Amino acid sequence: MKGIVFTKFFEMIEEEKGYDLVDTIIEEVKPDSGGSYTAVGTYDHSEIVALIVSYAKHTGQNVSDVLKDFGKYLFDVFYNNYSSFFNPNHTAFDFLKSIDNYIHIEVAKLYPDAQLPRFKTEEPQKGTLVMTYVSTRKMADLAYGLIEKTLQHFQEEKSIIMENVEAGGSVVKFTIS
Amino acid sequence: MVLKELEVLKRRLEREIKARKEAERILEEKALELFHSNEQLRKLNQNLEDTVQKRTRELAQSQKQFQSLVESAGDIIYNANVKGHFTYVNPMSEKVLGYSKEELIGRHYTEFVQKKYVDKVRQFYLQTLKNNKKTSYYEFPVINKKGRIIWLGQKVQIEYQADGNHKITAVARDISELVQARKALESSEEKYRGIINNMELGLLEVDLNGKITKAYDWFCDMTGYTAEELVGKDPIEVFMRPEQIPIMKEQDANRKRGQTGVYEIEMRKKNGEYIWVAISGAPFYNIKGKMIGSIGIHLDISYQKKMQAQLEAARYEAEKARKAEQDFLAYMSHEIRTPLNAVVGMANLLASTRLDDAQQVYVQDIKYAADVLHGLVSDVLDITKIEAGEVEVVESELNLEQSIAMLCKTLDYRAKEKGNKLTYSIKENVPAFILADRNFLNQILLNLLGNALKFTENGAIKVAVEKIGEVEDGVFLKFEVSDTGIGISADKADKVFERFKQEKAETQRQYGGTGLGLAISRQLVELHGGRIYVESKEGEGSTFIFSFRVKEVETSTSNTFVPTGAETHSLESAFILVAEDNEFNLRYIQALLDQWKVKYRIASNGKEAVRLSEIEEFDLILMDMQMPVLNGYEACQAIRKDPGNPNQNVAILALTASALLDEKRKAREAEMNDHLTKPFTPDQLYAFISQNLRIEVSENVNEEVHQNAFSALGLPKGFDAKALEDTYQGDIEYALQMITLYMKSIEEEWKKGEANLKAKDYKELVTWVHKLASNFTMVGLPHISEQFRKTEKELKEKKSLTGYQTKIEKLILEVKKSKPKVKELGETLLKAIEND
Repeated sequence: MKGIVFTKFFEMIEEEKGYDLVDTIIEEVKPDSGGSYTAVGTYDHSEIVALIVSYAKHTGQNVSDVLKDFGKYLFDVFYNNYSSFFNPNHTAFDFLKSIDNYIHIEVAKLYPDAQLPRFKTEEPQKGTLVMTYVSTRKMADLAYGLIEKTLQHFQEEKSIIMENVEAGGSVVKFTIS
Repeated sequence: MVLKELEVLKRRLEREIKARKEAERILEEKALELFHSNEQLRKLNQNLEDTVQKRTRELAQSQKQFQSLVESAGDIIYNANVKGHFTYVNPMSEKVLGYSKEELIGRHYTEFVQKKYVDKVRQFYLQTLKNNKKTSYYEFPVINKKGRIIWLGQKVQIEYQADGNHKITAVARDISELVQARKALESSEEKYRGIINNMELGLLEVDLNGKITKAYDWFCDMTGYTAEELVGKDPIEVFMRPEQIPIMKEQDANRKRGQTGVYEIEMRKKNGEYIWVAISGAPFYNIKGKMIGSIGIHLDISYQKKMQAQLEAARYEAEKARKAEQDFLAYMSHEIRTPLNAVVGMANLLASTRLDDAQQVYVQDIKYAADVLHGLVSDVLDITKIEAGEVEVVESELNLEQSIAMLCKTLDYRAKEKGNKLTYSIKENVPAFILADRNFLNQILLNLLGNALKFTENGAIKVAVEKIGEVEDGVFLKFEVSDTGIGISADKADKVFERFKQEKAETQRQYGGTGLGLAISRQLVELHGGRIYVESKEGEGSTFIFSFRVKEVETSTSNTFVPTGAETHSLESAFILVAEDNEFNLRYIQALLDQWKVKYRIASNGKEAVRLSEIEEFDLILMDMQMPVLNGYEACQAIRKDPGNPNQNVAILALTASALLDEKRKAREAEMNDHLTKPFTPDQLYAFISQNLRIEVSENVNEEVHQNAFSALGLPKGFDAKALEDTYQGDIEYALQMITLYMKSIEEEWKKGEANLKAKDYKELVTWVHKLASNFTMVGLPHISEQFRKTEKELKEKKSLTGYQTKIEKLILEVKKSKPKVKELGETLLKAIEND
């Protein structure tokens, strides 16, 4: 897992709850990496999962909501840091379709060791976009937050239906309409 | 609380420091990675640059090579832009077109194409571009600077470009010779096609199964079918009569073996009519030389066939008519000859009896008239036979000198009648023995000599023979018969050899004759493969010259049947069998033989002749050809076949009705030695018999008779030229001196003989006999010498005159008889000397 996910997750907790909670969950989880992360580093995926689970426990939230909120938070980070990927003339669907076709390809060039989820898209009819999430990380909820924030960003009111194709959540279908 | 905050802060700081170090470490790693990457990139770049440079050099090299290849190419190579303007031309382009590079670059290709082809060529290339074809080939003529037309075979390659500026590369070759050859071939094909069409020859092609594959126009016209009706059909079924199918099948089989053939056959036309065609068939091969069928050239010969049939019919008619004419002539000739022979024979006999002067004249007139009539009949018959091709050359060995001497002897009395001197000479280079047709040669010479005698008075007639050339198996002999007679005018010289042509109409009246003799002579000479002509001056005489080829005989091998009477020295000692049924002829022969004191037996038919030949041995047999019971041929064959017959190998002489009839051939086939044509004069029979007995020449046939100066003089009968030659070696003057001496002393000699006989003086008589024996040899009478010698020998043995009274009287008589004869000899020699 890329270090930026850890650093932005800690940033979000610090902004909302203060650094003490960050310290608490690190002390509690005691990750192998020692809890110090840099955005350009790469760390074990299980550490973020343990940190999120710990955070949800301390705030009394379920993990799914935490991931959705973190997704929304990450959209803003991406928008601010990588605005070149956002074309003002594009619609939300244009952007969503460009993730798998363009953005992830560029990311992979920069971080050859990054393990990125796949987002296959199709438009079965006008105004409907079906996105299929495929990843062994099983973090479709994070994607949900990102999609939801995208629609808000492009100021488009659409509903998101999320359904598991694989029981474990490694393949999830989003129907946006 | 503060403490807790401090601890959190401390942990946060530691975490931040650790994260920063981690980040620095990662950055360091990344930087190093980046450096290595850059380094690698730089190296890669360097390699790339080197490779590019190397490739560039290689490309330049290859371009250079390619350029030089293009420059030195034997073909025209050029580039052009899409519009067709030259952008590059190689040196060959300059050479072929005659323009320099500068003159060519920028010009449009159509400027060089021959005017009338420009549209076609332009059209072709526009189409090529339109269809996006990358390569193309086209042939067209261009005109070079000198105005010469050059045919080019051009291959064009087009590199299509997105911007439409397609690049054009062309390779063109001078194919003028090829085009020329192609044109020549086409025109020659055209020519032959034209010829075949014009020649009215129907061509038909069939495959190996005999099915028609192509029928040409003229063949269709000829048969009335269309080509469509014929293709795929079997010609045998379409055209042939059933009985002709085997001929066709055989020809087809020959074709399959690769043989050609020409044959004639009848063909059925579509309308059922038949035409005759001559077919020339030949196997037909494809380009690879494999036989794929045959081709037949049909020529309509119906008209020729019709003409042929008509000609055949006409020929048959003509043949029939000719045969009828011939039969008639043969019949007439026989019917006339038989009584004529009797007339001639009886006249001859009558002439030898004691007649008064008037009677002699009458008999001579009868003889003359009969001779003329006989000559006429013979000539007409001969020329008919010659012209019918029924005469053939029968070669036999003959002694030329002997033959000519005999001939001259026969004609001598006729020459003397008109005061002519008849002589002959044979050059040394003439072979002694030749192979020739004795009868033809005799007849030719007889005709020419007869003419010479007829037209000459008180003149000289000469026969001369010489060799004028040699060929592989023989020699060319030239015969000349010259006279000092009336001659022939130059403009008539050629005509005299034509039938029934004499020089002038008056000639006929004045001299008689049929006008056939020379025509016959010419025919006979030509039969021998020779030629005859005349050189003449009017009033001065004529020389008839003929030459032909004869085979030379090294030595006399003679016939299989050497006459057993060859040793006989005179007719008196000869013993002859005469087979003759005609009473007149028989009486004639008998009378003559009696005159010559020849012993003989008579057989009146062939059977009797055979019977008599079994009993006694003869020196010679005279055989008439037409006899009852067994004819002459059959009798001859019977004698020849019987080894027990003492006369198996004797000379058998045929007496025939005509020299030129089939009888001659038959006589030869029956193995007869010679033949004599009836009627004959006493001289002819005498010569004929003595020749076949080889009386005069039998002892010296192998010696150089032709060198004999005396034989050429035409000595009177009874004189031996050889004896004279032996004595005088050609010196006639010496001989004449001796003869004059003999004449002066001879009367005294016989008186001396008579006196000695009266006194019965043995010694004197022996001397006398001895002296005269040699005297007679000196005057050319060796046979009389022989009688004297024989008597001398006997007297010497007996040493007495007892029983020799009569014999010596006979010898004295011989001496007396010799006087006029020797006188004649002297006159002959004198004349010869004077003529020289």
